[in-house]
This record gives sequence, C-alpha cells and structure tokens, in this order.
Amino acid sequence: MASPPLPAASALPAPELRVALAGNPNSGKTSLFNALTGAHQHVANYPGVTVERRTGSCDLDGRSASITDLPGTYSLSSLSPDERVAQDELTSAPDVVVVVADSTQLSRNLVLLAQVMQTGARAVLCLNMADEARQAGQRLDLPLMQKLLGFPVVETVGHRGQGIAELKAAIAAAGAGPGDSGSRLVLGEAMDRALAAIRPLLPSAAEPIYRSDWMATRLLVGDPEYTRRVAAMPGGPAAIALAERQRARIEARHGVDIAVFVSERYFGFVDGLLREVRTAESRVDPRQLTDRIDALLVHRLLGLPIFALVMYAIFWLTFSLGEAPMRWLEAGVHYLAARSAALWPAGSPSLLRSLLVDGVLGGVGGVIVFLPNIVLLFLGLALLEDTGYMARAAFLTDRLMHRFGLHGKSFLPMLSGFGCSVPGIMATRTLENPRDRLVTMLVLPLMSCGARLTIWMLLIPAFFPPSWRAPMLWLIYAVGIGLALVLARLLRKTILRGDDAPFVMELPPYRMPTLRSVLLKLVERAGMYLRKAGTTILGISILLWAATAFPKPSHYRVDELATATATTTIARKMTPDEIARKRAAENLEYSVAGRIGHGLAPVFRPLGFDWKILTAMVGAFAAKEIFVAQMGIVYSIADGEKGGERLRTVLARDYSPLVGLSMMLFLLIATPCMATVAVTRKESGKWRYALLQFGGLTGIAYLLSLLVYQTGRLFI
Amino acid sequence: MIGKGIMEGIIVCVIVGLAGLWAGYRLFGGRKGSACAGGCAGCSPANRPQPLVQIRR
Repeated sequence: MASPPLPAASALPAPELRVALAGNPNSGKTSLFNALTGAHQHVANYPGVTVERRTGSCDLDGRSASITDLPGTYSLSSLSPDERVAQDELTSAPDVVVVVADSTQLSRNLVLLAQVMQTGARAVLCLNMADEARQAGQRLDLPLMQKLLGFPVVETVGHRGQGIAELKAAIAAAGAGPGDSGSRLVLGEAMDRALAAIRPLLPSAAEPIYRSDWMATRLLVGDPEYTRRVAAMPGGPAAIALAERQRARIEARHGVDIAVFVSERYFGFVDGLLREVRTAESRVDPRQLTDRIDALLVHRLLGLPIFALVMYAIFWLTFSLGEAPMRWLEAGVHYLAARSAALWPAGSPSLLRSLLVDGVLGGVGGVIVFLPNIVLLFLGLALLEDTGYMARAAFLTDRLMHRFGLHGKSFLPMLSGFGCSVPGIMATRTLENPRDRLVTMLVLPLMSCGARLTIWMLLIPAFFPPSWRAPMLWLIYAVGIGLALVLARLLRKTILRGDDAPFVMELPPYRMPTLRSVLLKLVERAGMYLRKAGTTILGISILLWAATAFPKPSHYRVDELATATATTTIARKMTPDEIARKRAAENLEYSVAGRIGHGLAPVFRPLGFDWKILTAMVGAFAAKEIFVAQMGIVYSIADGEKGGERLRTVLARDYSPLVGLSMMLFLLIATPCMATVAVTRKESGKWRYALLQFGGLTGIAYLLSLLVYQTGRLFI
Repeated sequence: MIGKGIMEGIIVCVIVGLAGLWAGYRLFGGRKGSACAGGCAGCSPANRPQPLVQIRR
C-alpha cells in the first residue's frame, strides 16, 4: 500500500516565532503588548517567584508568534526578582527581542537596548510615544538609526494603536535576520580589550548566550548570579579568575568602580548614537512644565502638607458626592427586602424568608449600598496615579520612610495596600534585600484597604457628625500609616536589624489623564466589587446567617410572657411582627454566632465591644466587608433594619461614639484577612512570619483600643 | 404530600450546604495561596505598580 506523499519542506508551516518585549517601566510596553496580542493573552507566574508572566499570541503575515511581556526594568542586572526574570527570559534565547523605548526619554531608555544588543539577540527597537516626542520638536533620522544599529527601528503610539502593523512587519523581518546586533555595539577600547580577553575562556559547550559579550560583561562586573552559574561549568573558574584580574586592572587604571565604569560605557554608546541620528532636539523640554509644577508640589516644606490636603479633599468628595447615590441604592435594597418579605404573611417564622430577607439582602445589600463611595475614592486615586502625582507622593514620603528604616521602594507596595494587601505584599518582590521585604510585608496590612473602606463608610457617619466625617477618615488612614512606620522602626531595631539602601526615584512628567483609562479603571473596580458581593460576600453571608439562625431554642421567653399575660395590655399591644422579632432576638443569642460572641465578650468588654460586634469581627477574618454584612444580618434579624442609613441609626442608638472609635481602631489594626495571612506565608516562605503578623497586629490592636476606650471613659 | 414548611426547610438546607461546599472549596481546594478574595482589582495587570527605581547608589 502506497503511503501518502509527505508534504514538501517548504509547505510545512514555519515554526512559531518567540518574541520577548523588554523595556523600562512607564515606556508604554504593556499597551503595546495589548495592541499586539488583543484578547489572546495569558497571565501566570514565573516558576518559583511571584513575578507576573504575561504571554500572548499574534499573527505576523501568516506566521504565528508568541509574545512575552517581560517585567519593566531599567537594566538587565540581576538584583531584584523582576530584573532576574527579565534577564533569564532573554538568556532563554527568544527569536526576537523588541526593546520598547519612551521616545521622550531616549538617553535613559536606550541603555537597556545596549545591554540587549550585547546578548546577541535579534532585536527590534520600538520608539514608543513618538507623538509626544514629535510634538516637543524632536526629529530622528530613522533610516540612519536603522543603518547604524543593523536591525529594524519603528515608531509607535501604543495607546492609540499607531505603528502596530509596521512593528509586526519589523518583528517578522528581524526573525529572519542574522542576529548579530552585538557587533554594532561600541563600548570603547578598554572595555573591548577586557571582553576580548574573557570571551575565549567562556565555557564553549554552554548555550550561545554564555559565550556572548553580555556574559563576559557580567563576569567582569562580578554579577553573583552568573558567576555562580559559570563557575559550575567546565572551564568556568578560569574565565572568572581572568574576569577578576581584568576588573582589578580597569579599576586601578580608571580609578572608578567597575559598575560605574561599565554604566558609563553604555551611556556613552547611547549618547553617541543619539548625536548621530537626532536631527532636531526638543524645542520644548517636556520636563519644563513638570519642573514648574514640581517646584510647588514637591517643595521641601510645602510638599507633604499639600499631599495631606489633596488626600483630605478626596475623602471629603467620597462622602459628600457619595451620599445621594448611596441613599438611592439603599432605597432599592429596602424596597426589594419589603417586596420579598411580603411573599410571606406578617410575622411568619419561615426559614426561607429569613434567609432571603435577613441573610442575603441584609448581608449583601448592606455591602452593595457603599458602591458609590468606593467608586468615588478610587476615581480620586486613579486621577492622582494617571497625572503622575502619585509618584511625587512616593518621592515626598521617601525620606520619611528611610527615617523609619523602610526602603524607599516600600512605598509602592504600601500604596497598593490601600487597594488590597494581597497584591501589595506580592509587590514587595521589587525589594532586593530580604529584610526590607519582610518589614514591608509585616506592616503592610496597616494600610487601610478598600474592603475596610466599606466599614468606615458604615461606622464614621453612624458615630460622627457630617463635619467630622472627612477628618475622621483622613485620621484613620493617617493612624494606619503612622503605626506602620513606628512598627517598621521597631522591627528594624530588633528582629530584622540591618542597613537600609538608598535609591534614586524616577519622577515621570505630568500627563493629562485620559477619560478612557480612568473609566476603564472605575468600571473594573466597580465590577470587581459587585462580583465580590455576589460571590464571597453572598456565600459567607449565607453561612453567617445559618450561624445566627441555628440551633433554635426549644421555647421562647416571649411566648411564655404572651401566654402568662395574654389578657394584659402589653401583650395585646404586641403585633405579630413584634413578637416574631423578639423571638428572633432570643434565637440570635441562642445561636452558634451568639454563643461565640458571648464566649468572647468577657475578653473584649474592656474595649467596649458586646457579643454582636464580636460575631461580626470573627466573620471579618474571611473578608473585611463581612463585618458590615454580619452587622446587617444581626440587626436585620433583631430589629428588621436593612441598608446603610438604617443600620447607622441603630448602631448610633446602641453604641457610643467612643465604642465606635474603639471598634474602628481595632478593625484597622487587628487580624489581617485570611487571604493576607496566606499570601504573607507564601511570600515570606515561613508560617512564623504570617503568625507574627496575625498575632502581633491583633495584640497591638487590643492594647490600643483598650487604651483609647478606657482613657476616653475617664472624660466622657 | 410534603408540607410547605418542610419544603422551605429543604431548600434552605440545600442553599446553606452549597454555600458551605463553596467556602470549603475556596479555602482548601482549587485556589492558590496567593489568590485574593479582595474586590479591589489591585491584582489586575493594569493596576500593578511598576518599580520607580532608576539608579542604585
């Protein structure tokens, strides 16, 4: 039997092209990645580290390509996990490396290009944000640049999708190219001589990347990671010894540290290249306007007070603008609860009615009504972020953070902590020093997260008059930050002793935020909040309702009272609804939740907490918003009150503002949620740190709330 | 014939049971330790902070 003819070699589909996108942070790499891959993306973690790996696919004139978005880095040194991941990805020899550079900041952005060229990769230079550079008057001779570099150079405007077709064509062309980008790199005679001496000794059996100028340079500067790897290869120790001799020779001859010497060579190459290809310099320095604004906003004395005022204004808007839509939502929840309850006769002991009205609508409804406030706060933060002011906030707080033993880089993870502690703790991976990382991780839950904002939206208006609301919210955030700094200092002086590393911060120019970007963030955040309300909060609300509904007592005191005094005026005045509510209150005390609350009450009574508050606090360990949901369930069952304003009224009736303050302090500081404890364990690698965070913060919360409540009682 | 009260009781048990199973799955099952229950979208790539470090001294 004749076998079917094999297809001719040329008819076989070309293998998939592996493309890596490298670039500095803020170079617009991610928007280019989105434009190239569209919806065909996959997000995962690099094995062993929590640095995100984003891959996607695209079609390049009939040839498929897989695109990896590398973490944004300024260099390929292997200091932080992000940089190590970028370096490892590049050393895994992708077919094409696209270096994305911000056209308005070429002198700095092209240093990474010089390093990529040293690896010998088939490169493409993508000059992004080309419109801004052109507007500023910069003109580049692109054909000359391409000729000098020996690989494709394209201009793009990533967020508008301009130049994407040209970029795809350039990637396809580079994929078929020779891959000798390193030969065009000029780093000076001293460097060339050192590399030429080291290169022949590099392990010949290893991957081509280990025989490149890049690897010789890493050995020359004494990169510990690559020195270790090369040492394990046959012939490696000889190459390392020679590299050490060359390093000593250069340092003696030029009188500078080898790292500075090598950096200067890269900057020198970039400077020379730009002198050749820049036909017109920027008429307007894009930094000029930025510098004028910065003269005020990052002023030595005025900077921090201005930042505090900006935050105050955002908090004030959160309350004042959010009030009306909150009332609309509340009316909706109340209407829905009334309609649902009307399906059963008044005072009906139906379990299903209680689950639907008290559990689901009391719990989930109580959380949903605060959606407008949440959206407004994050609108303010999105605007600060998109204009570039948030980077100034990092700059302003940097000196303060150092004074308390925190690394300046800790600010960004802590800033993410205002959204949620989990990504904040994951973002500590940008810190190289494990001690800096641990300190940041341990104190990060003190940043008041978005989930806790729901609690503040319930408690602050319940206990404080309108004029106090914004200052109280501001104070809660300030207490969290202040306490985090003090604890960091304490940890740095005791169990995590060590020096902090100074660093220089990049301040990107101010930009007008685009409506699309801000709206996208808001829609995403509102969607996530609603999704969480419909999943986590709903699920836990049902379970908490069950904990508040079972077991049931065999008989109720109110029934005995009604029977014994059936003829009295009091009993005659009680409506079926009132009798049902009294029965529900008795049932609540008898239930699992009631018993847990009563069990904990003696320990927490000195803080002003009763058993109802305690059942809600136990629930808050699952997710912080559950505190609001559980209070909603407890009061829905006991008082038939649903929704934010009604819940606020009964809270103000049952507790004093001092108890409110004690509650807020405890909820701010104590017991990070379950997900935070889990991620601390994962990122620190040890249960002991997760338990230290959990126990330490809860202990401090107890002591501080006790101090505030007991001191307050002396005066009130 | 099953009474209305019993029927409602069964429905409630099923709903609470499903919520319990779901919570157990989230806690011990298919979710990674780092997965977050937060609704802040802070983990979305678009909201990820990028390091601001430029030069080490």
